Amino acid sequence: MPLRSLIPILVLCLLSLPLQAKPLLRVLAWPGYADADLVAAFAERYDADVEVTFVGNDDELRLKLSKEGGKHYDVIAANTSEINHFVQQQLLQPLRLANLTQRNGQLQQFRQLNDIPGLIHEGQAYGVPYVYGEMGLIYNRKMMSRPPTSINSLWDPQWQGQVLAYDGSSHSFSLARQALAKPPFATPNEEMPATLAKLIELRRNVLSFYSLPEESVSLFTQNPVALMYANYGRQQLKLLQDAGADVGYVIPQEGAFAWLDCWAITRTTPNRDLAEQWINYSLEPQVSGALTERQGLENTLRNPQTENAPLHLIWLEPVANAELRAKLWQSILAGERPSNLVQP
Amino acid sequence: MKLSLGNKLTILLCLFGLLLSGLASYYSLSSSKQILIAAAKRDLLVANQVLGRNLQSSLENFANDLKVLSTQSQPVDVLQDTPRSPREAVELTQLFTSMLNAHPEYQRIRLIEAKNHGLERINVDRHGITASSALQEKGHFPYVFKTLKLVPGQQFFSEIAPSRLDPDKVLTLHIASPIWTDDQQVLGLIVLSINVKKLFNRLQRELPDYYQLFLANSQGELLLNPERNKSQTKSQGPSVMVQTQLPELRALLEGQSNNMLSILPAKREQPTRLAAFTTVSIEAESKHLLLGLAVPEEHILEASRELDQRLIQIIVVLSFITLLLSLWLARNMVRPLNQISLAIAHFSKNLSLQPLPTERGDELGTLARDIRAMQKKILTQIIELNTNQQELQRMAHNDPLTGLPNRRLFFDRLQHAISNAERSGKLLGLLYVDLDHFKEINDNHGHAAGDEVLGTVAHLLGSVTRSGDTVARLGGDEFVILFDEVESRATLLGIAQKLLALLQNRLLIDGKDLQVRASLGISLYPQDGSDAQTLLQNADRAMYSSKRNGRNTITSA
Repeated sequence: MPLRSLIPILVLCLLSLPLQAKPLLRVLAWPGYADADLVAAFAERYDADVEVTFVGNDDELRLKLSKEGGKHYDVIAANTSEINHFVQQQLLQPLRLANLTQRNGQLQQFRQLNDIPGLIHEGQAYGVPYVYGEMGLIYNRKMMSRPPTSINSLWDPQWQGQVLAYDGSSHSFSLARQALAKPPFATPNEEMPATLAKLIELRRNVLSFYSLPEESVSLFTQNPVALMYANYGRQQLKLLQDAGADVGYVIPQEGAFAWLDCWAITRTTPNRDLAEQWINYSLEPQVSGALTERQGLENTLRNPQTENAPLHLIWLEPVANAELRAKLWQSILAGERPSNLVQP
Repeated sequence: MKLSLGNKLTILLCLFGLLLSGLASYYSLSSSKQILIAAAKRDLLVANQVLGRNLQSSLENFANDLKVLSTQSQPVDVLQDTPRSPREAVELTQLFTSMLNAHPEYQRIRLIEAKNHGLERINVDRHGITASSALQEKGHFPYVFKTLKLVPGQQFFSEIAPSRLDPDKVLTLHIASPIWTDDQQVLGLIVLSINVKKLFNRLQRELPDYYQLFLANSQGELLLNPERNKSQTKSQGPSVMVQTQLPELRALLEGQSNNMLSILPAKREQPTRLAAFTTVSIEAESKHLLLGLAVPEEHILEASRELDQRLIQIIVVLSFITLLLSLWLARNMVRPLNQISLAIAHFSKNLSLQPLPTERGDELGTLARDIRAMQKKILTQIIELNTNQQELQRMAHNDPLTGLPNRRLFFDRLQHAISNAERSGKLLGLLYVDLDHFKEINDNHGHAAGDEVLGTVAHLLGSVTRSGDTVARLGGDEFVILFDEVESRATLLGIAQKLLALLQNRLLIDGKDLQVRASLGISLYPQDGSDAQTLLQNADRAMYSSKRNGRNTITSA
């Protein structure tokens, strides 16, 4: 009677099924970083549930991650300066690089984590580069006969009401500082009024602000827009071209801010192994390759094949007074007049 | 194991009854379940459509309110900064305030000018009237720049989108109308902001608790997501696009159909649900809301579960009744059978008649009646047979003329008496009687008279005997009397003399006076013979001695 003796074991197995519920991986990332089909393939391969949350700007990312000590997410994508910020907030945990085997396929420059500011703290790595891009200018060829050359075009009254800018506090401040020909990532107190005035001036010149790439596309296609600050760079360019817009893309003469987004694992995650598997998975050629093929973003596995001319890129750095910037930016966005802006 | 007929019948009937009731229950259950689900689907669809119409009419009311506001003269005057402007601004503010007070869903009403980057001129919200110094520039918001492009009479409906930075913030729907001067110049707009959650709370109050209400904007972004656990912070978790969860919904979002019914598959913390979706168009062109209602399948099946229980109860009761009925039926069938077999057994054993279920009207009654008739017939025939046998017996042992035992029976009795006397040592006596001149009586008076004489003599002989003695006719005119017990030869002689004396009397036969006399011989056991033959011969010889001695006398052996 071997079958009969198996029955209790089978029953026990059945009873223990609810205890062995699927693990849940919660990913906090940017649009295009975790497409549904790729997520589904991962979920099937590791028999897990995956919940992806997309954010539209760094302020939103900070808000979501910092809520309740980051316990709502397991793995996040953020640029190097934000990683730096989150490490200081003790929201992340050091990575076990030995487990991240897929890093072997990355370009040398993205494996030397020591050379990338913001990723190493006290000798331990906190982020693995995944995708990068720069924030150039997208212009409407039908409206602008010549490509813009400077970011000051965003302030050009000629295009008043036909400009789209990005809704994000740190980038917007950096942009204003750049337009003022000042160091972009720090704003001394005495220079704050001028910076705020510049930002209000920007607000008065734009049609609107967007945060998600899709938002920028619908604003662009539904309204006459001549110029757009492309926070998502070539990803947006591709989206617009796919939507049938006749657009061009330039890196302004002042240089374009560039971001390097990295995966990081939250300190409180209950699924550290699964999070590591996710990072490995994202670095597989077909997943990282999708960033380039589908989104127009640059992945860390191969060199870009676009223009050969050296681009003037300014890598993002941690900004000073991020909270103040965020608060002031919200007031600006709400439409406060200069006289009502609370200043430090 | 051998089962009795009764048990077999009970089991068979029970099984049959159970099978029938089980089948009937199963069919009614499955069909009623389908009916329930179909009804639930219909209810859900209807509820969702009603909800959609409610929402639609609410939105239309809002639009009408806004239209009323925007067609007043005050906005134009205020925006044109005419001399009447301050007074009209006050009036307009009051109008806004009273409208806010009248409609709890209204969150804010604003008058915004086209110039000055969309500066607010009047802003009344739930907290009151905003001071003029705190008014903001709103030109970069779609509800401003898009409304300013509309012609009079048109209205702008904003997309309802959750705030990305503060998802706890109220969901807002902005409805805006442009304000134009008489000379076709756009001056500004009035924006009515609706608190969508409040609106839906009102709508939801009309629904039963177990309904889950979904609301998505035209992008498919879920605005009201009942799947969010209440304890979970609302701002956390992904912003959910309905079409990724339920690809069929794409058709609704793309405007290919107006409503649909679907099954929401079970997932974390959520059971399988039946859901109806419908679109509500805010504006004829593009923007619409996707309204969904879901009911947990459990809830629908709860009703059918009650039905299940009721049916199980019915089956149990039916089974019990079936059992009782089968028992009763089996008993009713088997009891008469048992009664019949018992009756037959008794009858064949001792011919006794036991009660039979003859009163029954069915086949068993017929059987019982037939058996009874058969029994009666058998009994009658047996009685007849016995009677005949007795008659034959009598005919074999008795003389037909006098009814007295004949020679054969007499010999039997004599032998019987000798064997008795042998044991007891008592004396037996034989008296042989032969009528004198009987032939002459026959010749002179006819045989009939002779027969009568014989009968009378037989009677006479009987009169001298006691019970236990036997009078027999040996043939012709010869009789013999066996005395079972005599004390002595003298006693026997005494009896014989008494008889002889009686025979001296004349007999009246057939009207004639006849003299009938007899010669008598006596023998005594054991002196005159120890066996029947000898004893009778000796008596016979003694009788012949009497004949020789002149008749009418007694001789002892």
